[in-house]
Amino acid sequence: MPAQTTTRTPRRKAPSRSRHQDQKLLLALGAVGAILAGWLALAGGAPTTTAAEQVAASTVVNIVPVAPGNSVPRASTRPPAQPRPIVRTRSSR
Amino acid sequence: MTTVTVAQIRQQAFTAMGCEMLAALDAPDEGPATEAPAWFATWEAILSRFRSTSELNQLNNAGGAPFVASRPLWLVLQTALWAARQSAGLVVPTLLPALEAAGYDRTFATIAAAATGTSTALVAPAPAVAGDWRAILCEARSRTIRLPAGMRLDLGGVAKGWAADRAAQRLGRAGPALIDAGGDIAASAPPRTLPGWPIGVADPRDPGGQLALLCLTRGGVATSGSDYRRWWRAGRWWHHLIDPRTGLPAESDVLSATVVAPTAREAEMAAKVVIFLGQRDGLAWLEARPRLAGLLVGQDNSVLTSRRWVHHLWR
Repeated sequence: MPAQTTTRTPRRKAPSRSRHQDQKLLLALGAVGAILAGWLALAGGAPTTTAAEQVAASTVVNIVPVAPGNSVPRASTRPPAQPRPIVRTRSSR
Repeated sequence: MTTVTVAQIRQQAFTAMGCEMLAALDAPDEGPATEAPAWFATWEAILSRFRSTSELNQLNNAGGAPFVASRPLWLVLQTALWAARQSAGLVVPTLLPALEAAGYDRTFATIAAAATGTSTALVAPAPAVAGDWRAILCEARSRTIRLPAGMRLDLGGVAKGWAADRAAQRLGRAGPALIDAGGDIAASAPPRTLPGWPIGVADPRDPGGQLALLCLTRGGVATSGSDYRRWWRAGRWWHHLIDPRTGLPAESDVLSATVVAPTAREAEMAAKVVIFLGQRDGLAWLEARPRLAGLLVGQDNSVLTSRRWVHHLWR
């Protein structure tokens, strides 16, 4: 007898209930995101300060022209030089 | 004794009260700074418990009889009683028997020379009970002191803090001055060309290391810790900070405490209180006192600072 071979056809699952819920959640999130984006765009667009005011309020920095190929000089983060201590603490008695 | 001149700041290093001292003066004339060692020598002769002829020892041997004190002894004792009140009895001058019982019965240089890593005693000493500092009677007009019979005083730490303040005040008449009296530091005013006196806060865990740089305009700084002045006895390390509640060297989770205060004597008292109270309660005690700021190094290597500490850092 020829050997019987059985081929299992994978069952097609019906769309689950949770998948529907996921889709609904995604839609809801998208709507909230759209509303937020619109609100932010409106808030950001409202002029609160003039450009001159913004420049005046910003920190004045030295702008160094950078030639192509040169590295951009990093802002100095080194604290001001500290003096040598005249004395050092030690446990007193 | 050496005199070094850095810019206009005259520095005079000398030894007194069993410690290395420094007098610094921002003035063109070095004359006044050279007088500081003599002031300390005079005070040491009066206040040292290691000199048999000192006035303090005469008071300790008065056997309960009234004793008319010199002005320095009177002032230092009043400072010690003030410290006892401020610290609620944690920093008291009545611990001499406990110090001696713990092994600090001679100058520290002698103890250090004798203790070379081996035990100097096989049995741990019994703790000695601290005398009641409130039983000391003082009459201000005649500067008369009466100790209860058997009570003996040690004014070591208080005397150095008082001497640092006194010397800075005296030297300050000639110009901005700083005194380092064995770790009790006092400044009269900032140097003329700097915002304050730069003072390095040493790291007790790292010789040569520095935890912070303070800018002391005026007032005092002091550090207290069990990392210094300690000796090996009966199989363990002993140190000079006797807790009056037990009569034994304090067992604290604070290795070292540095305090900035309006005077060196206040800083000295406060640093000891923090050691006795430990990290949590010591920090809370500092925070409750707006005159004080401190840095604590814990036995667990933690470094804690009070909120006001940042105001005293060099910027």
